[in-house]
Amino acid sequence: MLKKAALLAALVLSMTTLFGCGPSSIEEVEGTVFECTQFSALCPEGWSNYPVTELNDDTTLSMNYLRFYKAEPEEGDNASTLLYSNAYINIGHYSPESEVFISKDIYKDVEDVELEVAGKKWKGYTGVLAGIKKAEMWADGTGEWQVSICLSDVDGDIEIDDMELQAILASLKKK
Amino acid sequence: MISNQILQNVIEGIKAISRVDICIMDTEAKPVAATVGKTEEYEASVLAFVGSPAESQSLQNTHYFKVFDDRQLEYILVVKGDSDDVYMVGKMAAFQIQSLIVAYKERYDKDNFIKNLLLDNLLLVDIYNRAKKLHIDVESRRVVFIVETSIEKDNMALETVRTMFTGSKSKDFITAVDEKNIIIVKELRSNDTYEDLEKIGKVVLDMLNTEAMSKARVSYGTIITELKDVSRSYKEAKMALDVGRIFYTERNIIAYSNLGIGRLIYQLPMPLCKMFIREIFDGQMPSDFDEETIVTINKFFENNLNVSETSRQLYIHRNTLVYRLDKIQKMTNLDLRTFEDAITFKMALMVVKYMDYMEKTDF
Repeated sequence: MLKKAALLAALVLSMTTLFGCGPSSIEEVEGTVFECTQFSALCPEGWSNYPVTELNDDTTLSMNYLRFYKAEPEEGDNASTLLYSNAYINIGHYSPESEVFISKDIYKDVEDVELEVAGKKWKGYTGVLAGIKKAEMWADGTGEWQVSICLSDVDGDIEIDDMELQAILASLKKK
Repeated sequence: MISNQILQNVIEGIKAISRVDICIMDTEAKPVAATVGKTEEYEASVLAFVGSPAESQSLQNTHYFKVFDDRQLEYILVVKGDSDDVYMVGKMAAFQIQSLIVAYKERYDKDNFIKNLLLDNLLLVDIYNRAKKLHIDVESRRVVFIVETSIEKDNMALETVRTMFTGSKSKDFITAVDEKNIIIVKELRSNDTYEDLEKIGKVVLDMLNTEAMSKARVSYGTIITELKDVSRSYKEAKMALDVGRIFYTERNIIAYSNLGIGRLIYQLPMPLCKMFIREIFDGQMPSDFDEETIVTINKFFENNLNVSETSRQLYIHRNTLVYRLDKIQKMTNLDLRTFEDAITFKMALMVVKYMDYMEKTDF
């Protein structure tokens, strides 16, 4: 009986280690703040910032884009090796008049999502394309803040209400 | 953006036609390209001309012209001679260089856009807006090919591929996101099939073998119908290249849609692989088997478990083959003549290949 209990305890412990016991609130998420010309955002611990360059000049960092990967930086890693293997978020900041493009038709299992984080109301959808789960969202009904998220991750997909993801959204600060 | 070598070619071409010497300098009076040896004598005049509001000027038997890139002063063109004909040649050369800057800028912009697209660096709003600006159709059928050459930074191979795909009406893009691979984003016709993609792959390989003397492997992803999915087709082509390197070394064209069981094994976690191999081979690895046993197993699988055909191809008596298969059964507890054991063995061999590859690449 004692052996069984010990085994069960070990199983529970290993399950906790395997699946992690992530932060239960946004406030618990720690990390580093990265910024581009137009805004800053929190990159949680365990995530990495991947510099995005301007579209017409690959030597200048983008003024309105940040991209974070859910992976610790390793030698030899680049956006190409991590593509669709790790969860990531692309954050773009535009003028409030900017258009929001919706491209639901190419995804399967499309679900509309709504999220309220730190006073911003995020709307959008999640969908699966060739096994990859992605989300497109925009804030407060305008095109000012737009994000594209890859929810598929080698260590298990993340959910749209993932605390680290929400902490990133909550941290967006216009300069 | 526009290379100095191209500028040099342009002014040498103009000199060959007009016999007029030309020198191109940047805004700090440093020579960029020239058909004359000494350019120092122009430095002071060029610096003074840069600061002046004039667009052209004639001074001491020499004409000076400004070349702009989107209203930003880029180069000063120095043309030797003071006749009207020389002035005309200088004006035409300045116009030609300005046009080249615009053309190269557009190509460069497209290249950067495609690179960002491949890496899924763009939000939908940028994809649609930018594609519109660069006159790229967002709803064409496309596929991504990756060409892996044996030499890193193989410029000859890159130029060969560029020549093949970038004609005047071509809507294909050739780029690279790392030093090892050339990427082709190919626009397809509505009736192009995966067989056509295989043919394109063969043509690329043939061209590289003959033109660039380069050994290469080609992989491709699935066909996509929206520009935003270019990154997915790229990811698939990349995976096809990796899986092919492990399991299908004899193939030099690898399609993602044709990876079979290799794709599944490629995604297995290493601890699971180790556990599986321990269970199947009980500590002994297939690499420990002697050469004869390995050849026998491979041939037997190649011939779909057909004993007669395998023994014929191995030039051995049927009973010898049966004896060898019995020996394998004793070693592994797997009777390769039965479908279930054969598939277990085949998968185990592939898992071992995968583990060897991962160990070698230090993953």
